[in-house]
Amino acid sequence: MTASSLDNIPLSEPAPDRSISGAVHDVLEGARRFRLAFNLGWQDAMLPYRRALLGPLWLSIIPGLWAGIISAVFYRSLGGGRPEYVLYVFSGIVFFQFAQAMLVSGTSAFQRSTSIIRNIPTPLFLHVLRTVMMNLQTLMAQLPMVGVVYLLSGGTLTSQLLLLVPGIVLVSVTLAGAALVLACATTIVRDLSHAVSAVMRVSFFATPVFWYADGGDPIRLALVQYNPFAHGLNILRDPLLGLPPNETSWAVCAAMMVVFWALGIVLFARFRMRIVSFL
Amino acid sequence: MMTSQSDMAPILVDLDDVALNMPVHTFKKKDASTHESAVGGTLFHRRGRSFIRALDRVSFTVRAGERVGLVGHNGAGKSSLLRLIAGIYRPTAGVCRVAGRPSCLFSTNLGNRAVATVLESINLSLALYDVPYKDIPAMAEEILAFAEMEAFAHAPMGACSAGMQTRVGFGIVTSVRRPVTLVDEVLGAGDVAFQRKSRERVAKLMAESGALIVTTHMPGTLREMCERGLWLDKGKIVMDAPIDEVIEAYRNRMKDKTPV
Repeated sequence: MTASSLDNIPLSEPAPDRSISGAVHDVLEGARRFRLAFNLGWQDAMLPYRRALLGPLWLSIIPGLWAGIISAVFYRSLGGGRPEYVLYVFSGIVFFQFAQAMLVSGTSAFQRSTSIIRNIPTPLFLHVLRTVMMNLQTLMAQLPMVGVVYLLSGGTLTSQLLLLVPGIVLVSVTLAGAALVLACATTIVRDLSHAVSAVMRVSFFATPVFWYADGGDPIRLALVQYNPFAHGLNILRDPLLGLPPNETSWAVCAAMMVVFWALGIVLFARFRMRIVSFL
Repeated sequence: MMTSQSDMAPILVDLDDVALNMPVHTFKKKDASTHESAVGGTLFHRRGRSFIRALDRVSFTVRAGERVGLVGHNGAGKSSLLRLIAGIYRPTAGVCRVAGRPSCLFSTNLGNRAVATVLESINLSLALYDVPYKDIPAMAEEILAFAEMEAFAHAPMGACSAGMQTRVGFGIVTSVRRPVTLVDEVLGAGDVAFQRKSRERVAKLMAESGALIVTTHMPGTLREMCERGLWLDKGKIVMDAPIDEVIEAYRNRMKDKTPV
């Protein structure tokens, strides 16, 4: 590095603490390093299976076992003997677990990267994006098995299936905003990680993953109407079930995306500078 | 205030009245002792919360070409100061301005996974340092050669000894070139032969950097690498002078405090 080249480097001072512009800059800088986040997420999602004989196939085997048992037990009582019940349950479990993993791992997004955050100056949003990438890659590894179950259930390749692409994008961006909110909030209030885990376990039963809401039961109807996970599930599962897009679910999800990102940016701006000292 | 380089050389690091308070969680005022501690920063309590005053009104500048060694007791604020210059910590008060992004040699372990191969770990670590992807393959090859780990490139990190992992980590953190280089106690890695190689590599890094700020508890290394010394005591700069004078004064203070 020559003296003349050093003359041209201006002294820079970071953006003021708690500024929205500073938070947005961090998010954009983290997004710029998308490839790094993808690689970190790949390590998180896939490396645990490197020594396993079946490798990442386990990502599909586990929800498959769940779906198999639930379908066998509830086929008549909750499934009403519908032929697509196995597909309904399997895709429901895969998509619900995607949301669950995004939120639960979102609470520990910064803690998981403590050794990096404390030793290399990186945009903090990179570590939230790492979490998003980890879960998206897990979902991508499970989708082929969803396709197999879809075909075995008598599904055919229709243009309606293309709705899965914008559906996954919308739900992922919404969950990324929620993960940013939780990552910031949990760093300050540690109880949140336990609370989110507990809520997500309960939500599995409160979401139409393996039951239908068409029996006239008012509680189930209310859960489908007011449970945000139900709307996310509609967006992702309806194309597989040959159902038309549920406009309410798309609108609710889009609204949640705006709310989570707005709240996430505000929290990120408020606590960004304190995160490293809270790890 | 010492300035060993020409006043014409550009300023690469500029700290003006910087303070850094670090919160101490789960530590309450009632737990505090009245004893004055010889190590660490100053503990204080404010509005029911506890803090350590890691840096206290620190001001200095580093110009291009300067090699600065930080000395001080454990918890004096050396690592906090380096992380503040790196942009990892933000000052509670005052202004810290730095030319470009610094190169940080803070840890040789960046949370690499045991099942990841040595090459994968190197690639990922270089990406973390924001090295352009097109430069990574050549740099990874050079790091493997430096660490004498070519045969283990595709072996999992978990199969490597701690010393071998440290060699790789040291190779990674010393391969990135930036205007300002910050080094925190990662010198002296590996066996005797590797330590010699390490010193040569750091000397090369120093020659190619604009400015170097280093902390280590090895006075010989500080004398070898630096010409200017900063002595930190409980977060305050108590001496800014040629490195030999700073080390001598620091040693004399330590002799007074510690029975031999």
